[in-house]
Amino acid sequence: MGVRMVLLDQYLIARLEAHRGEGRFRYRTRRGPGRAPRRPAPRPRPPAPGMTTRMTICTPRVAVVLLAVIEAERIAHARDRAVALAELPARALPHRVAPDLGLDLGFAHPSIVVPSDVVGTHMFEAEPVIAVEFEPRSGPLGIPPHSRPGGRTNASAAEARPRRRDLSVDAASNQYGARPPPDKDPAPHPRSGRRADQGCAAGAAAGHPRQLSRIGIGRLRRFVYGHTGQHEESRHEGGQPLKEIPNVPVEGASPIEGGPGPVSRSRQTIIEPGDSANYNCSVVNFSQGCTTGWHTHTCDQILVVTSGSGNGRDRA
Amino acid sequence: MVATEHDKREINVGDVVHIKAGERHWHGAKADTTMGHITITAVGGQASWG
Repeated sequence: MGVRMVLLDQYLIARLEAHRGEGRFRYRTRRGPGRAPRRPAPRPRPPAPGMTTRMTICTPRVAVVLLAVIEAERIAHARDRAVALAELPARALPHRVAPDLGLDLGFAHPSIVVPSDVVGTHMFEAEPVIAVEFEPRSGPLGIPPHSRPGGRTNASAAEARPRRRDLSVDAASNQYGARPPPDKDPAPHPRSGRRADQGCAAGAAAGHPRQLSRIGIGRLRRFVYGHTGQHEESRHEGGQPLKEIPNVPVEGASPIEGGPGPVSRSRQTIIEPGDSANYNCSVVNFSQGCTTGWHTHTCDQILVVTSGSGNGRDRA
Repeated sequence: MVATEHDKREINVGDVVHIKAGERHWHGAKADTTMGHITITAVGGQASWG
């Protein structure tokens, strides 16, 4: 099976980008009945005969008749010279279409069907919002209240609209009369390199804190170094234990040569057994002059020195 | 301190030590200091002492 991507005409995209923000519709004024437009703009459909008649009738009574001729920006097709309304590929809305009225209809009024083609650019540009709050200790992952679906943030508002799919095709073809692009495969955006559907996925992910936490961050904890108060004699307290985590004495405390005497070693488990299929991780605290003694692991071991004090220097 | 049969080094805060599997070693505090470190090993890894 082969997977290919068909690119849109890059010149077309660049041209649309260059004219972005300009008025799509111009209203030309025509003074008097006798002056025709210099270049008759091809219209999607000819005006009704009745309308033309009425204009003619009104002309003698009104000195200046403003005849609105909608000239949409038009791009001629290369082959059959058909003219279609130009649309940015799945990006901008047609002129005078409000991208977002701020109404969370999809959530507040589930019975209201929101047209699937009303899409704001902010939905494409939305970045995933990390909705995980720090917890001082282990426990179930909490969701900040403002990120819950009932919240009124932009992320939740975007979440509540499950209606942005196949934008690159539908937004250009259905509602606004523009013909679909020659190929249905959306091309990467020339600036961001992001395809429209990818941006849509990112926008959808922005409003799903639960889903995000499921795929990304299992548990986020913040440890603070400091004395736990478990030991009064700092001489026998190893290193600088982490707060909030039980400090459990462990075997394997051997005094170093020339050491002060009794030694102790303790462990504070960061990753509880069973939480990870791959790693054990804990903080080990050595009292003054305490070592592990000789030992061998059947796996690699990484040590990151976090504390050490003596003679005013951080030396272990 | 961290030591193997061939080497013995003084380590301090921020140092990272990688001990290969099967390497006989010890680590701990000097005679006049305390020491703490994070240790990371693989699940299922066993330590044999001595």
